[in-house]
Amino acid sequence: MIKALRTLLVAGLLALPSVAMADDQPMDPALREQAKRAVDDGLHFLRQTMKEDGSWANSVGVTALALRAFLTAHRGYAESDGAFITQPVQFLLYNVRKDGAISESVKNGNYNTATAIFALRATGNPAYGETIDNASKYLRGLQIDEDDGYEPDHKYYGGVGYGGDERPDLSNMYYALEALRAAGVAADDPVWKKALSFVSRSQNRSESNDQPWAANDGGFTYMPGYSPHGGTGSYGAMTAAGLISLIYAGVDRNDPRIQAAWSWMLDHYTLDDNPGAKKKQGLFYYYAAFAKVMSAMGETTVTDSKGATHNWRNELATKLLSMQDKTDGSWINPYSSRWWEGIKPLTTARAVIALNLAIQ
Amino acid sequence: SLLVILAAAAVLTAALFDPFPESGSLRDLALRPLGTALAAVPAIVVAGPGAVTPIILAHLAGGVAVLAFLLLAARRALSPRDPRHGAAPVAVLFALACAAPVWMGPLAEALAPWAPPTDWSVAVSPLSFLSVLAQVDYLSSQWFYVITPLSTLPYGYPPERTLFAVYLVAGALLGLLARGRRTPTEPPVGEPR
Repeated sequence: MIKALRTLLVAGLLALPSVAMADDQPMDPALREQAKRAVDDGLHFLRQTMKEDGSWANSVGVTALALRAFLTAHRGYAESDGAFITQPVQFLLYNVRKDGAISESVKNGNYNTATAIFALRATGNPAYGETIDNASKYLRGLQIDEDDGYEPDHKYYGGVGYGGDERPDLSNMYYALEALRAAGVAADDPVWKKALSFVSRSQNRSESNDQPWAANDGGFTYMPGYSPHGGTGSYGAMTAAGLISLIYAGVDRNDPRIQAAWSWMLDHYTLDDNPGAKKKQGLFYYYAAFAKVMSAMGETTVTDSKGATHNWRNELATKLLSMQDKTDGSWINPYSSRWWEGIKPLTTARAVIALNLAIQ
Repeated sequence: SLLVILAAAAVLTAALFDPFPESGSLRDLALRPLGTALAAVPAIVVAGPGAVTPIILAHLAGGVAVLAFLLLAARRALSPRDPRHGAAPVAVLFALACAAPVWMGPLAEALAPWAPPTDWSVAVSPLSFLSVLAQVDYLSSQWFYVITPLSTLPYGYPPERTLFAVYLVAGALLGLLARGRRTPTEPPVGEPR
């Protein structure tokens, strides 16, 4: 009974209100079974590589993502299933800091805390409520606003960075917003409106972005005025992150900002690359964010700008299955180690999270 | 913030070029770093108004003292008779070490799949020591994020105590070397022959 309730909770955390389309086609049944096996193999790899303290890579962030991969999988894992769930949870709790952050170091305070919030919430255990609330307060404290001396017209206003006074960026913002949503922050909390300022200023859409550099392809870049792939260009991972961030912040799906980003994703539809990025950097980040966007937009079959139709569930599953290491069930980005994608537990967790969304 | 760390590094560099001759004594080598640390305090406070708590300021001052000890010992070892002549080369080495995350970043990325030297690239830089003391992740700051791929790779900052010990011991060894290099009958510059 408790497990069933927890499964509903996880489904609720993952599912954003979506629009059911008349031509929505389910995933190919045979492929679905293969995808489930691939998830099982990936989770087996994670179990085999978990350290004695319950962590992966000695990192709260990687551990939380791995835990999320387990907790959102088709098998409905829960704390009652054993140490492979409880030990990572304990690792997260061990790294709770006085200021509410959940992080093993001063680095990556936002990423670590945000991923930990989602994972702890996904356990469905009310005992972690206070920890989640404190962590949520920590994240909201990271948001750059008047308290930090920034006025609403500043390009950084409303943004969240790694933690501390470093510059904000859309990736950290997206993780923070996902966590705040999971933590149940009220829809009228000022954090959402402030976040929209920053998110909008990261979009290449001059009608809603008051920055002089803004182009008009509707995609998103890493932060106002900068892309790690050159100039201020849009690319897949950040466009998906930006689109999802708009949804988390309560923007209606028919809003022109969302529609522009959605058009960009359809115009650049691919699973062979992180479109717009150099050398396939951040590929698995893109796969996970892509799956979240596709799931949120509620369309299993999409039509790209060339008129080709795609069943994203089938295609994502096929792609990820082709990249899985059949010897141990892991995934790794073979093209680039940037953004930690040379760390197998991280890329495996992201791949499993993406497959979990495709299988749903 | 990054400015706090850079301010501390600037004071350290300036200390290398102080125009006053050294007495050559160990006491001199011990007192000058303290003076440098005191000089660093207002610089740090101005660079990061409101960003530095008293405890962090104290830690940073201690770190500046230890680094100053190392740098001044190094210049003395290079030029025992008149350490001021050793200032420029030591300053260059200091700058190179501080910039290690930048010039080692591409190498770290290239080797990442096999033997990532990211932690070494970070540990070598005195800026990393200062950032640990300031509790700042300086490699995630905009400037470093843009110019080096290191911040996109997994890296860790060495423990504060380890770095303290390493810099202190290195400074002591250089001080001994300087003492050994100076001819016993030859007085330092500024003292009568």
